[in-house]
Amino acid sequence: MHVLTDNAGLLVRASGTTLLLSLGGGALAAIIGLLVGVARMAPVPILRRTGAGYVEIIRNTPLTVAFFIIVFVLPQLGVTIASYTLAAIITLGIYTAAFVAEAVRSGVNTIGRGQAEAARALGLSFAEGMRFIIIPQALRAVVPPLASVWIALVKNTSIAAGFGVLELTASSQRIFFLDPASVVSTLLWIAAAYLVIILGSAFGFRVLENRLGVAR
Amino acid sequence: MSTSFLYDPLGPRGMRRARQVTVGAGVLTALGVVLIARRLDSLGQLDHRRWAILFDPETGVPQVLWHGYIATIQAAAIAMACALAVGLILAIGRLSVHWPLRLVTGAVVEGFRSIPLLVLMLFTALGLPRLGLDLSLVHVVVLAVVAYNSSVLCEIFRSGILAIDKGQTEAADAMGLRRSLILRKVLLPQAIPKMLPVLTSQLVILLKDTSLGFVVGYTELLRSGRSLVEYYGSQYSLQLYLGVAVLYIATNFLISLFAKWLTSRQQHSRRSKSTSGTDIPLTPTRL
Repeated sequence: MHVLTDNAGLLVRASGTTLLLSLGGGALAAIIGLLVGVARMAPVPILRRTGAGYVEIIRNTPLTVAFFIIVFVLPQLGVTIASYTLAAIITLGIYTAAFVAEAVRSGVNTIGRGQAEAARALGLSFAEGMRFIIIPQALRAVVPPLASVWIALVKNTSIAAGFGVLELTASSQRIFFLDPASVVSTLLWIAAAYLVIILGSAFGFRVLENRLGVAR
Repeated sequence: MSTSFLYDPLGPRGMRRARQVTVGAGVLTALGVVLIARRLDSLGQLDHRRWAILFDPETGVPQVLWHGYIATIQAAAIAMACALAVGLILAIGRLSVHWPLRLVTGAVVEGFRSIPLLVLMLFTALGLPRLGLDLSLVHVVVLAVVAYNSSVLCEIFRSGILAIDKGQTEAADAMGLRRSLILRKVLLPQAIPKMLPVLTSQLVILLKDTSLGFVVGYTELLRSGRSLVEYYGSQYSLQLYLGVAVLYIATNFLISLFAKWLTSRQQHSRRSKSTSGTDIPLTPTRL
């Protein structure tokens, strides 16, 4: 218990950073993922191939390697990112986007083909049909897979600990570095903090799923 | 992909537009490549000696990367076997008719799925020795990876088994099969082929997860690459980390390819079986 009271300030700040990484990375991943997901289904072959290539390469690269490339290799090429936190958000966004794209694609596949055909019959172009007809409906079907992507993202933020970002996992390392006897209890508290964030957002997603399910 | 319901097959005008987009994208990509290449060249990154280090045995780089690669494969292979076994056992526990067993396995699975792997690995590396359990580094990595991935695999197995039509279980029940026999002879043989794609993508994730071993000091592929960068200086980081990434991507791609081959082979054999099945009534029987 003293681990918690002695380091309250550090732990609160670290939880905030974990949430910032998750939300920032999640927002970036949502934008890139939506674009890549739609590109994978586009009528223009080169867009499809680019989208598929992005997903294949990113999904087969360990996140740690992606971190190494963004944090250590890019500065060698003259591209420096202002802060470690920003670099972590960009890495998490680029990485998670591949999984968002897959979720979007599976969501679109659940939409009845009549919807796309009706959109075309009304004279909507592919982009218009996607924007006004398909994606708004697909977003509902996409909630459960996106929930697991989000949970994976929250857990993945822990990897930023190895790259200069003081989030929850890094703060635990700092605590038991100073007080080696507290390793077990510190890690248990950190695990509990992740459990709260993840089970909490899982509950939120379930509420969202039920509400959207009714609206359908 | 040409059968997508999202758009009609392209007409002449659409084809022309698609070609224009393709050419435009090609020009832009070429421009980007040239710009990046000039930038890399001005930084001396394209010097062939920089890249030769990846392949020249005299620098020791290929050997170190190879050792790291073997260590990664070793940890991943042990972890895959263990995680599949433990995951199946957990799934059986979650599907048990005894509620205490369901409760315990459910709590274990939900708990391990919600904790970041890195925290689990710090626990196996630093927490367990405190509790009087000293493991070798491979086992530290394998234990954490198994703890996490077996819970994920458990959920894959469980949903795969639950997706099998209920009539199958009921029919097997009616025939008087024991529950273990129903699972082994009726449910799993039908569920596993369907689960194969999800299962392989999880095994790819498992292989990628072993790269976290670098945090606790297990010299796998990523850590070997990193120590080489530390030894040769950070101006080689592009070449070395790119080499590491290519090794990971190639291995994972091979796993996915293998899974695709397995799936197609199964579908093939099923199809040929079913055609031979329809042959029987077609042969005219003389009375």
